[in-house]
Amino acid sequence: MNRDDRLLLEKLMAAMADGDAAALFPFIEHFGTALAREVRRVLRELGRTDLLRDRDELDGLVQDAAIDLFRRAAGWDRTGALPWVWARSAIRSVVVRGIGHATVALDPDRFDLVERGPVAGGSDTPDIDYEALRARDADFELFCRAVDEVGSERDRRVFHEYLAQQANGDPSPSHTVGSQFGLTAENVRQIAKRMRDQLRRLIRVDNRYRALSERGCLAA
Amino acid sequence: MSTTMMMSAEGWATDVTRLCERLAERLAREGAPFPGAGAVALAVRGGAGVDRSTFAAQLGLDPHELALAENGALPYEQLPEAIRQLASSETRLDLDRLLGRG
Repeated sequence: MNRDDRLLLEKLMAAMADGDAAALFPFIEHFGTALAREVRRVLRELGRTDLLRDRDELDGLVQDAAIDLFRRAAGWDRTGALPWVWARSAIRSVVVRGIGHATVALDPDRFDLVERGPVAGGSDTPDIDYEALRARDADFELFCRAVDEVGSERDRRVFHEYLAQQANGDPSPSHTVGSQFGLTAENVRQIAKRMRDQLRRLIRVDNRYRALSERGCLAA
Repeated sequence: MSTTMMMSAEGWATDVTRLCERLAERLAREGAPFPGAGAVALAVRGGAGVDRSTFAAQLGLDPHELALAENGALPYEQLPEAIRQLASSETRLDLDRLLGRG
């Protein structure tokens, strides 16, 4: 890191230590690449190499890591290690929270797979009988009830399909689901992010869904 | 500090709207009545890369008014004109999404 970068880093960390959230924008712009390197390292450790190529997911995790550093900035010693090295374990926790625990939200082995033929404009993979799964699995039923309370009908369908594709190991679920619903991959990622955020908010305020807080993609 | 929202050669291109949404959530948790507008005001200054008093001086604004804007105390329509102009010209900010106009 050259002297100018070092001075900028110290200035932005000082601003964040003072609670200036606006500093997050230039901080991520200038040091996001270093944060991303740390995030990728954690993803590799966790075996989530599928996410290394998902630029949108990676950016979300970089933002999460930056916001975590923002909260901790007052504790950083500028004579010590770089912030992302100093906060390595915290960033690891952020990544684990962001991608969920080792288990994923939906277990494909528990799905009823019903051959329904090709989906219009989409893949020819078997579709999932969600109603049958809801009737049989109390956890999934609770999850679906929470999903039913947030987002539009289209967003709910996109979200379910996105999670199912992820659970099936699809390396790029946003592209797959996008082609099924006539959306761009970016749209799908935004919908999935929005649904997750809304679900997390719902879980925080509605005790009926508290049990979902530890669930894969929603774990806080 | 940078005075532009453009990326440096080794910069990280982040989803500015998403970052705003996260900051808006934080402002909302703190009780701000207009968290989306507050996040937009923060993003605009963040793009300029300067502290609040410097930015207020650059735009000829009252620092107190700028603080109110950034704290989410003002609706978007009541943000200083200069802030709204800068926000409108920042293509990475999806104002409709942030202000719930979509």
